[in-house]
Amino acid sequence: MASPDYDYLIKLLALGDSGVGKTSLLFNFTDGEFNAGFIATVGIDFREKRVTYTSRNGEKSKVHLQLWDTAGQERFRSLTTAFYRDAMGFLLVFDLASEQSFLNTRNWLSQLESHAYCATPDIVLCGNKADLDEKRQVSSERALQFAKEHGLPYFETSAATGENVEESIMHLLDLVMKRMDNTVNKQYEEEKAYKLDGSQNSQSSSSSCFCG
Amino acid sequence: MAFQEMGKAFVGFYYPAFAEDRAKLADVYTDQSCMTFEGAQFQGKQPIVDKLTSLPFKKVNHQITTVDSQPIIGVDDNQACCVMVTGQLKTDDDPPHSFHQTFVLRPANGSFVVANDIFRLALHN
Repeated sequence: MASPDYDYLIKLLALGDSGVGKTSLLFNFTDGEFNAGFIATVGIDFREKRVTYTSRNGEKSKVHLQLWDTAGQERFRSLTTAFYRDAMGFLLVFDLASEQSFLNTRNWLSQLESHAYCATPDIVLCGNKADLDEKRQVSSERALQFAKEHGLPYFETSAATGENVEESIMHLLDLVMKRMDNTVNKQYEEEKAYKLDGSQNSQSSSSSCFCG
Repeated sequence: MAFQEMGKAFVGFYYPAFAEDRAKLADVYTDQSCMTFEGAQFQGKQPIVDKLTSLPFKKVNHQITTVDSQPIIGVDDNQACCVMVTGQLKTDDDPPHSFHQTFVLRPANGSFVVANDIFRLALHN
């Protein structure tokens, strides 16, 4: 089989109440590109986009981004574990013109804590519909305060004008890539440490054995 | 068969009423009714109707695929009925979702009420 023509496949999820504009946001980012489509039994939609990622040491890599989206089943509060599976980063979206969707981000965060691959996954908070200024119910200060409390980067986005759409998703990608980089480096360091004093390692493990 | 028809008649009332005005469904539940909606449990007319009316969509349409009914022997002089419905539903502009819903109907004052109601979207891992 031919090897894929990208270096990384990254799966990101868009979460948030229905009607906050998750689908429009992803639609804007992928220029309307709509691949593969709807997986009916799981209730998932996804879009794809190729981007170039430049690491902190200037290395460029080709990233195949998969952006997963719900298909309305969040209205019934039924996201299956399949939806969260293998997701590496999360775009948590609320509607700046809906107080309730902002309040519900707390619920989404606790859902994430229990369903994501770890308790502190990479999340970017997006206040969407920033173009509807006259309908705004959530101030930037309040959203920022909340983001700060939870250690989340915060963007005000507009799927209608494209404002900050690319920025927020690329910021999330950056967090995911950095985490991956750190994990890989750590593993490498651990491996190296193990190789250097491998004999000692195996000795100490046998001496700590319960039967020992 | 009578139970099959009873199930169909109930479904013929329930889902159009659900689409038109969920508050109307108060008539079919009692204070003893139990509902499990996507794993969340509710008991009594008011909590059930509150849940149904608070679902965040404006339009909803059910397309019924199958309705299967059975008498529950030994209950209410064998007049109670268990109904399982499968179908698809579409809310607002979302893609359609498959669902299952099971009802237990019990006779009351010459009509029937929903004693139990269990609903799930058919989503899989």
